[in-house]
Amino acid sequence: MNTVEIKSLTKNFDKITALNNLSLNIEKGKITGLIGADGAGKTTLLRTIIGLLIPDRGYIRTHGYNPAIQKDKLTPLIGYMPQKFGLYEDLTVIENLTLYADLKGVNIETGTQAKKNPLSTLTKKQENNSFEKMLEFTKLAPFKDRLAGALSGGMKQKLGLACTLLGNPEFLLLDEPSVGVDPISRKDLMQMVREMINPETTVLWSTAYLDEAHSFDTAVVIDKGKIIYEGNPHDLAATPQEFENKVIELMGGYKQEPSKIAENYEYKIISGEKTNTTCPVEADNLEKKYGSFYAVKNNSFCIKKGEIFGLLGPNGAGKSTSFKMMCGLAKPTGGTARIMGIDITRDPEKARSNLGYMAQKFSLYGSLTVKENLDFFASAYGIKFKNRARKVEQIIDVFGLKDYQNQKSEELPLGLKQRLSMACALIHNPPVLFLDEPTSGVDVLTRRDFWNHITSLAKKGVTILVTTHFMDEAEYCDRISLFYHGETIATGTPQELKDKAHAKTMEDTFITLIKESEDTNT
Amino acid sequence: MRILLALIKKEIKQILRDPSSIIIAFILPLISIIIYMYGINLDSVKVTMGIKNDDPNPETATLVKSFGHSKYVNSIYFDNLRDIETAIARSKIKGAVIIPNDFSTKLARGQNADLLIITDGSEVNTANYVQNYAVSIANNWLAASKYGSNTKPPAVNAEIRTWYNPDLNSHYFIVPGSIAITMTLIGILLTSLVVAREWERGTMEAMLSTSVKTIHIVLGKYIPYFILGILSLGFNIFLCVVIFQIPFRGSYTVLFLVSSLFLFTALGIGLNISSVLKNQFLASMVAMSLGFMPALMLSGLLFPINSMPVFFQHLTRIIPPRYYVSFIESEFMAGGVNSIRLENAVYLTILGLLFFAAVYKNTSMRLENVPYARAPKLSDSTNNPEVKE
Repeated sequence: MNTVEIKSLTKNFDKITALNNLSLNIEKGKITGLIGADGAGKTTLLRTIIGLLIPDRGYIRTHGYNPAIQKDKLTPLIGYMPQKFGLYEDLTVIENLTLYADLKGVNIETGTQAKKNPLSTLTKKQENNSFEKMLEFTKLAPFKDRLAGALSGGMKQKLGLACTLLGNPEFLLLDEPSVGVDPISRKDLMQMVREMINPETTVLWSTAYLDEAHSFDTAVVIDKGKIIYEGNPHDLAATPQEFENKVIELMGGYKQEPSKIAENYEYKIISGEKTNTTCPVEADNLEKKYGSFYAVKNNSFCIKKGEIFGLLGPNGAGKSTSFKMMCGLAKPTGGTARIMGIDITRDPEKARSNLGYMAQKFSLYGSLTVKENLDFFASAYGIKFKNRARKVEQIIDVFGLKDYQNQKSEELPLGLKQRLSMACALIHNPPVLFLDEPTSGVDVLTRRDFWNHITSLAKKGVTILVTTHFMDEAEYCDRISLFYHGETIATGTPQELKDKAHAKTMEDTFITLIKESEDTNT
Repeated sequence: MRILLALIKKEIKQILRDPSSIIIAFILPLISIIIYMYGINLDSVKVTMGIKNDDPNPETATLVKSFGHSKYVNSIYFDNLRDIETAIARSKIKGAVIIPNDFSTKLARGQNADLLIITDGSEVNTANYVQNYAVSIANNWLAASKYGSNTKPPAVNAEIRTWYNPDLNSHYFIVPGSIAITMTLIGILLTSLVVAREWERGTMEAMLSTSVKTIHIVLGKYIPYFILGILSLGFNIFLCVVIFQIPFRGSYTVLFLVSSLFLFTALGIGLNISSVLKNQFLASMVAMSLGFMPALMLSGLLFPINSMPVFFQHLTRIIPPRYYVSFIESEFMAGGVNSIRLENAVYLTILGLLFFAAVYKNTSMRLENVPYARAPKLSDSTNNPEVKE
């Protein structure tokens, strides 16, 4: 039996074809993973299935209803979590839950739906997603009076899921629920979904994490609005790593070519007294205190020339605060950082001139074109006017942005946006590169390509500091510092850390080391 | 009903937690009423003018003196014309009166005598005052002077009674008019943000996947802001009547009823802007230029509609604040004039219902034609590293 049946579905937006003659069945009672590059049509597909979008052509039935015209019959059966979780940031945890319970007509005591759909096959016993249980399960009970906007990423995600699970929906749709969330929160989320649903529940889970998708009953790979694979992920590959390679192959394959970006990069120090510092990037007892709370404490490290240094840790561990202090955007309350030997607290501008920075969010000017953005950053980084046009042209060419140079940057797909951000960060040939979650929400192909450039740049002598939530990416780092509660709990090469945790994967290493640190603290 | 109540409850909590809505509803009226009370004054004011007497004799000396005695004029005596020029240029005096050397001779002969009045045309209002004051002072002096018998008394004697506002105190209509401005701000500016905010933050998408219906969304926005508006209205009226002692001659019941109609209309405009644009920044700009500016300029509050060009006179007909300003001024100053009440109430009802229908129609229940729906922005709210668990 199928929860969703789709035949030859097409959906266009202006000139873009989001879904192209797509056919798909989603089996009842199974967890289906939806995998695809950015702009492949994942979100459009989810929205069409529940009637938020109307297809141009084709046949679609969800739970036997046509979502385009019977949306009101369908909504009581589904739980949908959009990408931004749909939480009201100015309401508290409990107020958000109450609101969604009211909107869904859910009984707060028992968690049952007041008006039960006659098609429902659930028994009374299974319907006990009460508030108490939700709060206990999400570990949000101590924070129930906190505003949703003041929660960390992982907690927001849990609250979003709790709101979605209210009323025991028979069909759960989650749109990239684990973007930008640390491995522990991701694991919790997965566990939460698996425990809260019953064998009858259908789950459709779109994700950029292939290890997640590998653990599902069914994997659906979507590319350019078409399904290119549908089936058991274990049939495709036995391990998550192989699965990732297979999926990349399905998407057209990734051919590792020498990085043009790195080839065109020429190492030079922009400003600095000592050209031969052993540590181009150095943190010296960095500390940030908010009141009596330490966001960052005794943070010291030295990154050698040409080294990729990864800063890992759960959401809210103080990674971003450290990052901001390192590039002079936040003032440390103690200690200092040096870039190319220049003290960031004494001469932040000079220190920064050696730095290329790629922020976590897309932070370019959306209404400017690709070329205009590059022009702007070239001038902001002090490239002389007479060299500017040539430099911008060269960088457009090297980064393969030629076809898009006159397009507004906000209209670019995420992968290209990210490439443009990197182009802007590298336009002045900085010897140091800071990357704050550069691959958050980026698909696997683009990530591969991105890391090819990063590792090639490091070989050219660029010193790189990077944060990420993708544990497979941590493997690219030469050294890793694991960060928790504002303090470094472990430093070393990926292999050293794995040995220390007696774990096989980086993911397990992360979880083990964090847990260990928690145990020693309590 | 449970859904609607939940949405209203949610909206009210959001209003209470958002300082800007409280500022617009309660602090802003206070500030604007103070400004209108003490800052803006459209009434006749005391002007300073220069006097130069080229015909010095005891009779003209009394004329000069009467300028000094007037309660509307401060007079400064000048000896030569150049000083007057500089004084006017420096705005020390707003005008000047020059008594020519043949002034008393001509009057003594029973001829018409000339009096030169110089005014500063760069300030039109003041120039009018200067002219009127000078003429009336001269005429009063003439009637009392020894030449008075030479002139005939005017055939028509004007007896002036100013109705509704005997003191011609402009505060009496501007301050109540400012209530219209506050109501417009709450109705249009505040609500222009609220639907757009839901689209931008993605809460609309989550809400649309629940059992919410169009009418819930629409009323869930109308009702809380209506309540806020009525509370603000009460506060405004309290300020006007109790604190600033503006006379109120109408009926409070009618005032609240018609104000409700106006609020209903203004909310319709704001919610339409918000539902159509789905972008807070755009919506606030449009609300300012389409909603607030016309309310200020074209409502008849600051500039009388009758003196506008014909095109603009017709344009004011589709601007709800026009009807409300007209109503509130008459309600405060004239008291219950049923024809005015009725006319304005009818127009406001028609506009209000039209806007309500438009809001209903423009409330999307799907993500079609929503710019945000096309290019999903990934996780810009998912990660908040500053916040600690």
